[in-house]
Amino acid sequence: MKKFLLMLLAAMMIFTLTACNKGGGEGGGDATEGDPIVFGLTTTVTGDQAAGGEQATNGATLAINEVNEAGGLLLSDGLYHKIVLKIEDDQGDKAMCDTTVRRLVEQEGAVVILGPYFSGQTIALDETMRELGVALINSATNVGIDDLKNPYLWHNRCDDGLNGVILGKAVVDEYVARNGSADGLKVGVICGNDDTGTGAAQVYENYFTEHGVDFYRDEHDTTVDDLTAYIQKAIAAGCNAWVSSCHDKGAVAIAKAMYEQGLRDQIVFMNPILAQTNVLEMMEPEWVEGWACVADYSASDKSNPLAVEFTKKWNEAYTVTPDVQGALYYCHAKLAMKAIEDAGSADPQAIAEAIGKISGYESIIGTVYADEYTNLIYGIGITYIRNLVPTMEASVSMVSSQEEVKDVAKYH
Amino acid sequence: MSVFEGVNWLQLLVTAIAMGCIYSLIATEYTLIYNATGLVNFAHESFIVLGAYIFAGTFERALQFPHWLAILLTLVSMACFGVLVASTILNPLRNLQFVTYAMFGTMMLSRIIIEICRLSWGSLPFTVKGFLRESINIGSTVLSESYIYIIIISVIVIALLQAFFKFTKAGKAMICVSQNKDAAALMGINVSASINLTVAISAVICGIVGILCAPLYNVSSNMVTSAATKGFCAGVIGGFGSYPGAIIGGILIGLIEQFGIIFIPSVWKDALSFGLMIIFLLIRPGGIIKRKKA
Repeated sequence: MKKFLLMLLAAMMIFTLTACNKGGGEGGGDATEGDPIVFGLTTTVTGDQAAGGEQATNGATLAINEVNEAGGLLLSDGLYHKIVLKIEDDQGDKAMCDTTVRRLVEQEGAVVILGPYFSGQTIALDETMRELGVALINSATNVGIDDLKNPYLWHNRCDDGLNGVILGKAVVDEYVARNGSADGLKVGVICGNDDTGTGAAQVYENYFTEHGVDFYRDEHDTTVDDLTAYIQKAIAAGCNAWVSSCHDKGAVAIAKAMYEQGLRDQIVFMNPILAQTNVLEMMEPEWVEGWACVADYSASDKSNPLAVEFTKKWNEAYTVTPDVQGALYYCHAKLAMKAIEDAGSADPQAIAEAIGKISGYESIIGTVYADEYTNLIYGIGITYIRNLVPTMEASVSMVSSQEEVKDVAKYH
Repeated sequence: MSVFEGVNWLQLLVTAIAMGCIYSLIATEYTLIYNATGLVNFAHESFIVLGAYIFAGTFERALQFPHWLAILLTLVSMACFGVLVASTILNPLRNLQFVTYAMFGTMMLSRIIIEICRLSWGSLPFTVKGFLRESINIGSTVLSESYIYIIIISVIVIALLQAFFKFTKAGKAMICVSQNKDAAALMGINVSASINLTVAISAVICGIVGILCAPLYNVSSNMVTSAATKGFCAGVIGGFGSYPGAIIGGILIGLIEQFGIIFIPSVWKDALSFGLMIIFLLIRPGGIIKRKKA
């Protein structure tokens, strides 16, 4: 009898423990957890720009993990939905990107796409995204994207049009600050010959022409590494201040060629590439001391609490240093999750519409205001390079409210 | 002010010769393997990249060896790599019925090596801080240390190569193999061993180019894409299969692209080299120095 009672007691304890475990763990999850929501990331996992792809993957993963660890996104069905990130390698190729995006949406069930890396790829996806009816958020900066007026293509970064205006003004202001007036100023506009470079060069040209500033414009092949003759021509043309928009190798080649040809203590303003860790690691400190660029994010920035918090989380999660791409894709994922919460649904169309209504959302790269041109960000920091460390010394915002968004339309 | 007034011609000349030397070395490496196996080695860009990664990624950054030791060990590693590739890939490939297949084989080999580099050393470009990055002032001319070293080392390599062909038994055997493999075999030359040696030398030259290009371009998987293509152009312009032709072709391209863009928009720099190659293919397909047939 005693033995029977003991066995009964043990059975009851096991039953109770199992029930408790179910109530506090899986059973509770089943009651409140909905189907996972799939995000698709198309990026450069392999190939020449794989470093940027690694940053994008890490940034998006970090943002998603934050939400998943907190239980997921609460939608209008009253359930918490965790996010699953599916990644496809497009190798930076336009045609490949079309395939990866279709695979992510049609086979993996992605309700929003993060990426691709390049503006050219983004423009090539115009028809595809309209056909799929899924929103895409990325860091493309080409002003040509605005012309598409595609309600599914959202670029969450200050575009080349605004960057060009900010940089054009900055180079003139710096020259005036050093020399007392703009007399004698001749700006060398040195850009790559791809969509990023030529688009930006045209913006610079428009800005300088409009403001009566003398300039010299030349473009280089983005695969060219030696720019000696190129800089020689600019020197011969009388340039004494510089603006540039190019990619990583171009930035290094320009800095090296200028230094080797004795151009020291120059006024140089560049696109955000200059502040990227991998670019600065390829340079010697004296090449770019005092140069400046626009930058969405800097790991050394202590002025923006959101950026500081992001850097801390990143450093706890990864061994590689965060750079602009990592920060941007962290923001893209955050923005997509905000849109889902706002929509209260994981329906792709509802998400796309919710992105278009975002206004005044604070992210680590600035305040987000959606507009009819599918831009989301209108501000950027001015960063100076001091001993190869990007130091955010100022920030420029073209708008401070949703109403002002219309005023900057002329730059698009 | 005329554009030409402000141009520092000496600076351009030094840059042109230095870049020309790089193209010449690459063209020489093409020529070596072409003469030995009858194949155009489209994997040679990846050989250069591998050399740069071994030098900068392993011996300089990871192990922090002194420069001289890092250079020496890189060249030894590349020689071993060359023998491995020759015995396992290039030697079997040259016996394929269709040369085109063999050339595609070298292209695929290139992709594999590049991906191995990326996976082994990471995808971020990097450099060797302080290695050949100083400048020397001569009057108003600022000469890059790397350009001066490129010119000096290229001259030494080319001179040593010529001496090797002229004065050593192995070098003469390589010339024989390049002229007629069957006859060379009948004369008692071990053709496979000679090809192994040729590819090993070629890989060492790639290692040298990789080391010299590290301060110039930084180390990345696509660091010499442009230079490798121009090296091929140099070989065609100089006369494919001719060693003097490779040198002349390389220097010519260096001069034309540096001085040419003073007169035309800079964006046409690459087109100059490729346009010149097409002109040669149309007008003088054998190149400046036609290779003598056996």
